[in-house]
Amino acid sequence: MIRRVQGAAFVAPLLAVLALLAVLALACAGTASAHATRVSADPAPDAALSHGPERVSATFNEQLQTSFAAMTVVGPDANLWSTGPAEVQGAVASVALRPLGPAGTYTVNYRVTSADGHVVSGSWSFRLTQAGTGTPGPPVAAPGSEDGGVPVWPFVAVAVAIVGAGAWWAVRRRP
Amino acid sequence: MGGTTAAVTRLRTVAAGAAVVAVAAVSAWALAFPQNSLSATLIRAVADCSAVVTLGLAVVPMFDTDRYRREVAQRAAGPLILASAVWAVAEVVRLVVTAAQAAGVSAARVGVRTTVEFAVATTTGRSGLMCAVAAVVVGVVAFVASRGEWKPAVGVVVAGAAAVGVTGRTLVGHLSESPGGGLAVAVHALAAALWCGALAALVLVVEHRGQWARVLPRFSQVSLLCVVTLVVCGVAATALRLHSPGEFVTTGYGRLLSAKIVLTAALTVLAWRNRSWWLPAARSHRATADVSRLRSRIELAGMTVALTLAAALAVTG
Repeated sequence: MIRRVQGAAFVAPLLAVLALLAVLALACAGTASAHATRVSADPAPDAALSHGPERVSATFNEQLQTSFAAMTVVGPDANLWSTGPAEVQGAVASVALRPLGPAGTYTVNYRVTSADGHVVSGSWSFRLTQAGTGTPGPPVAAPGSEDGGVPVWPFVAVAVAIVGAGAWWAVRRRP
Repeated sequence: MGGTTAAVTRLRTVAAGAAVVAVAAVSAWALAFPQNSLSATLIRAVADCSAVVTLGLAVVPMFDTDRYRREVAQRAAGPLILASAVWAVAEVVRLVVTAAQAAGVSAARVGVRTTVEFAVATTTGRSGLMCAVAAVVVGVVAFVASRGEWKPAVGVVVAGAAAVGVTGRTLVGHLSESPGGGLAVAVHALAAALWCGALAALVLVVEHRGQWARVLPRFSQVSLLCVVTLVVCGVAATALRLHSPGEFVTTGYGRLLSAKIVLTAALTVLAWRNRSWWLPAARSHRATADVSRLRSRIELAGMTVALTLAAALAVTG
């Protein structure tokens, strides 16, 4: 009995502290994260431009992984106005733009992987005040459709089955 | 030997551990809301806990005296193979899920090419691959070794591979940008893994009073070293990562860290009380095996929560 009481005496304050921290969590939700964040953008968020820039870029506070970066610019007509793949140099991710078309709000969406392997995504927008003469790219496709090819999950399922069966067999076969 | 009873007890221990992980993961998610993803925490927690248990089972023969080491290793071989299998599976699933996350698609739709590219071209992917390979190596070596005579060298190889798997992922984690911080976290993780893993292995392998009397003094020496190391390295890493004391409550990351610090303090106090009462009692055969099992399980439950919090910390953005 005494041991059980000791266990309870150890668990009770712990639960109290966890509850307190949970309350604090709800009280100050939505604060800064511990990972890479965008520190600046070119063009600046909500900037009003008369001519479209050649590229848009975002600078982060940490180095980025060079692969697995995605950046698109979507115009007021819901067409894609960025062209080519996103490029990463150090802490800067950028993508080339076509000559812009209709006046209105253009939104830059990005998804990059920081050096510590966490995915950072977000968006900002700028405004074009004078319509350009550019032709739009394709309409924005449904997200995730670009990853065609053979899905990996059947291979994972087979690998799991093999490892599971192997371990089972190994344990049963032990002398 | 009462093999069936022992197997049922082990199964119950593992089931209880899984329940503790699930509850702790939900608490961690609530603590770090909205910066934590529950599924990522769960996968990482399963991978981390199985890696820790694997490391513990690899080193557990060293806690017994020379004469009984072979016997302990034989009893640990089955759980060791199973733990490394769970670890390998968890690492592969984790790799696919992180690849899907980086590519911005769901895990069910991510392609083979994307996954392979992620595993080869990014540091996170490479570390995940290395952990999976380490887990498979441990399983294969443990199986091959269990068919022949156990030698200390086998234990060293298996423990070394498990240690590589445990530390590998921490080197590409939050503190990868500062070499000192990365090293501090790696040593911290290894010390914690040795402490928690060894106790978990004792719970799974040790059965009667005489065994507890033999293994506890040595475990107690090792765990004291581990606790000192993990506290020193943990404090260093915290000092490097957080920029102001306010972050302990204002960020999800900081709140998880606070919970982990409180838990570590509680575990250390518990361990110290065990050291001053259970250890002498067990050594002189005064503590029954039931007492020893209960004491080690209470402490192990706390450790499981701490490991899950660490897993949540690693995936909180």
